[in-house]
Amino acid sequence: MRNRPRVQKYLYSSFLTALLCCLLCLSPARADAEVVSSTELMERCRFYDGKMVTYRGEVIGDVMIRGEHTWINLNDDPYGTRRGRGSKGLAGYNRGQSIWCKANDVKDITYTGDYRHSGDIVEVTGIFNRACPEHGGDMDIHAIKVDLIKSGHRVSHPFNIRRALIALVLLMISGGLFTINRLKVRKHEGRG
Amino acid sequence: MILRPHLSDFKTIGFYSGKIIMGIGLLMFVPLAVALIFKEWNPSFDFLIGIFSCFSVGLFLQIICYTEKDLSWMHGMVVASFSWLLAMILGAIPHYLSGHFGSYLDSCFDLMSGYTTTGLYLLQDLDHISHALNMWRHLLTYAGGQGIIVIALTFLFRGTAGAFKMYVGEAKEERLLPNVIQTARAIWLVSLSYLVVGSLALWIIAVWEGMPVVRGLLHGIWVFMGAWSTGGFAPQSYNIGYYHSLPFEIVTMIIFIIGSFNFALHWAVWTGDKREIYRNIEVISFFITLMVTFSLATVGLMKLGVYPHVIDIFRKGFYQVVSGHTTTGFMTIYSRELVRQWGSLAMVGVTMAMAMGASACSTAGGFKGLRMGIIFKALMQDIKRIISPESSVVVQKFHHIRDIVLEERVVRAALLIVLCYIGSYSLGTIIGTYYGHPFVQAMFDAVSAGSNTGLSCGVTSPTMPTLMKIVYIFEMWVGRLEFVSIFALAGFIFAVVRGK
Repeated sequence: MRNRPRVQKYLYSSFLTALLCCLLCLSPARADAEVVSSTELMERCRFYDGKMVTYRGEVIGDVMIRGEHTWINLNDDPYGTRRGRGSKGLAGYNRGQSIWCKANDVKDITYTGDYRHSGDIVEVTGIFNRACPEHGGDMDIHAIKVDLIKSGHRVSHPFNIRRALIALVLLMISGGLFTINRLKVRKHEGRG
Repeated sequence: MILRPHLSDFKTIGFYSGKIIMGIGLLMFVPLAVALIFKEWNPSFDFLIGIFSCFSVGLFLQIICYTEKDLSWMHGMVVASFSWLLAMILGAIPHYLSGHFGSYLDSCFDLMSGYTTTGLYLLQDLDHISHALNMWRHLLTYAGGQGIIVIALTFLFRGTAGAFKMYVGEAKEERLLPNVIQTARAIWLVSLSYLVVGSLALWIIAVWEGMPVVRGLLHGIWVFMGAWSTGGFAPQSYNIGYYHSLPFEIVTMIIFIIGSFNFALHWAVWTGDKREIYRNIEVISFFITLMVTFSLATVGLMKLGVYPHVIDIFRKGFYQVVSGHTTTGFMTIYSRELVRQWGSLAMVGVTMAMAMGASACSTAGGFKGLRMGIIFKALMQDIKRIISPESSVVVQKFHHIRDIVLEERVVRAALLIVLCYIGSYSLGTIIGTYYGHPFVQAMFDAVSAGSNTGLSCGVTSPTMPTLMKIVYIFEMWVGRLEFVSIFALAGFIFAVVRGK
């Protein structure tokens, strides 16, 4: 009778271990514990297909809610973490991946990337599909977990006074040319 | 003997080119208004600089080249090709000032791509550009689709006999109405009517699919402009894949198919002749070649087991093939998916579709359905001649707005232009292969540039060599103007150098 709690404890821990093993076996294979890039997902799409991946990027454009789920587009290019805008920080095309997740999981997203904003950086863990059967063959990630890593911010575009002055000078030049042209046309019409 | 052009020839060309440049300046008021509405101050300065630069150059040319002389055929052709180059250089000012381009050449590339309704781009960080710049990109394709000379004819010309020669120089030969300026206005009437209906439809879908009202409206207008003009520019780097919406895909596909039809066909239908849709040689040719190329792409996709369901093959495959065939360039897949998933056979199917293109006198590029139809009819005529008695006269006809007897000169002209297109595609392919790209990929992007399509498998990028960028710009330019006016410009330059 004294051994009963010990046996119970033993059975309980054995059950938990077996359950964990089953979960690990039944869950989709995890390709890598590290964060994968969109380039890697694209170039090795057949390898990652159907596997659990972790992906991180800037939320771009719009959070498009569809019922209980939502689409977000995450860019993992360097532009998300850039402070300002301008030709100095150019790093090629945007690169990203579309994410299908629960609408509740994106409640914390405040900023989405556009001209005025750097979007929130989020990390998603989910199943990668190179041709999703649920979404008409789209390449996407069905997220199981969405974590906000870094909040986005408003991007300032300081007023460019030099350009305003150039525009003013060009306005005056074209105004002068317009007047000369009108006079010339009138002169010729008068002759005609 | 080649005669050296007279000073009056330069004056005529300069004067009319100046007028067209003024038209580009006027067009920039639209993105300027968008910049002011959304309080995008720096982009508004970029557009003011662009507008006044165009006005300054345009007025300067009109003052120093003032003439009352009308255009000859040579003048009209040279004005068409030269003004497109000038419009590219001046129109690129707001692009370059936006800070999203690695060089001025890259900005010019995007401008030429826009005017020619190609859709390839070297703009970097598209997802963070201003509304004003996005409006300018899409307006370029919309205006370029109708033709920048059509714009000038609509607003800036009072009706000269030579106007038709410039209009033809821009690869449009159909006169919808007796007067060319009325024709230009009719083209705008058709396009603006579709703009209202199409943008409204896309706006409703965008909002339904979860986009905010204002952004949905802007995206609706921009995507319509990209679709109708068979341009292929989209406001986000994910292109049409951004929306993840089947209704959006269906509506865009309807718009770019309609947009790829001949303006003469549109006008015939508008004026009550609905039977023209079923009888026109271009429509028949388009659907036959579409089925052939789609079948090829489908076999390629099925062979590699790219998509799990047949419906997915249709959704992805058909969209990309139609987009290529109408020379639109919208994509619902990532560029690199073509290489990593689709494989060579499906890519060849899309390449063939792009090369053939859609209708003549439309916003589309490529060989054109009319020429494909004419060549096919000529082949049929030759086969009939072989199997008919020697004494018989074989007459072949085709229907394009009216029944036309197939003549040798028509076949010769069609074959010559197709040959020029093949030359242009080959040039791009050779350059791409020279820089180390696999043949199929080099050919895909070269044909895309030459046929003004805009689909890319990843060869086109801001980091590609300068020579490749120049060759692609050249391909887009000659492809859109259909060679004749480019030959006229080359002849004019030759006459300046070697003439007596």
